Amino acid sequence: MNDQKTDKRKLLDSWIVEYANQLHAWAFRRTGNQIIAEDLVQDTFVAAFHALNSFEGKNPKAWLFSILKHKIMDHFRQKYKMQYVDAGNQQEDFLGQFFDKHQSWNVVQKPGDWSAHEEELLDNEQFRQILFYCMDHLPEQWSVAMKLKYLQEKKGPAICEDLGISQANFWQILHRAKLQLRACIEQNWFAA
Amino acid sequence: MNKILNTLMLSCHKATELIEKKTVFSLSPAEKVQLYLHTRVCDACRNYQKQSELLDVVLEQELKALHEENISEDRNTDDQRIIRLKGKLDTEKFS
Repeated sequence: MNDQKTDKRKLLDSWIVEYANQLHAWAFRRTGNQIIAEDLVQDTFVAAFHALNSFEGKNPKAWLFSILKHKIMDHFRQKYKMQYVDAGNQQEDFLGQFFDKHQSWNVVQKPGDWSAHEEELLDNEQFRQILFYCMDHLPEQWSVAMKLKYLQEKKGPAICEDLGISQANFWQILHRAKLQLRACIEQNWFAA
Repeated sequence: MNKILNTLMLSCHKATELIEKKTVFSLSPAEKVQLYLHTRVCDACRNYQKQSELLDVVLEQELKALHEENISEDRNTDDQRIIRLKGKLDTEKFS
């Protein structure tokens, strides 16, 4: 029994040395957070350790990545659901800032003309700082949705399926996030 | 005439929603026409659309670049992470 455990452990250690960094880089690319990525990779190896008997394949790398994929989606699902209640309650008020009762733009929130500045924005350091400042001030669920959109190499329908949410839910969140982000940038960059 | 216009024309709220929907899902033919008509006559939503597309380009570029940077800086800590990982499994073994 003990020998068996030691063998399992030796095998796992060799996988850690060989694959942990690739798994970590991959998890980080999808979550944008080093600590979360490390936790997810740990969870992956713990799960692999306990499920080792069911591993029959010849390809440990693919197996570990498939466990990690599930861990990442669980993480997003949890984060997304957790924030949903709050975001839902603020829904009416939130949209009311931008649109009047006829659903037209409120005068103060009407998008202005950026065209004189558009070119220079692409590599302007100050603009980048404002962009990240504004990203940081989005409700967490919204920035999760945005990260999923930009960092997942998946199409919208596949993301929704993974998260177990409706497509309408996903693009409505993206809509709110973009409204707020755009307004925040206009206030801090163009109005300044 | 007004009635026809009203069913054809989107509100600004709806139009901007479709602009975002379009970036992740495909629009129905009816939605495409509605959005086209709306942005032809509405300056504010036309600005919104241009800015939204610009932000998409910048955000994708910035978020990806940020991660590449962090990944390469992170190489130094790889070894420490492996030690932590093994340690984590040590506690697991006896539980």
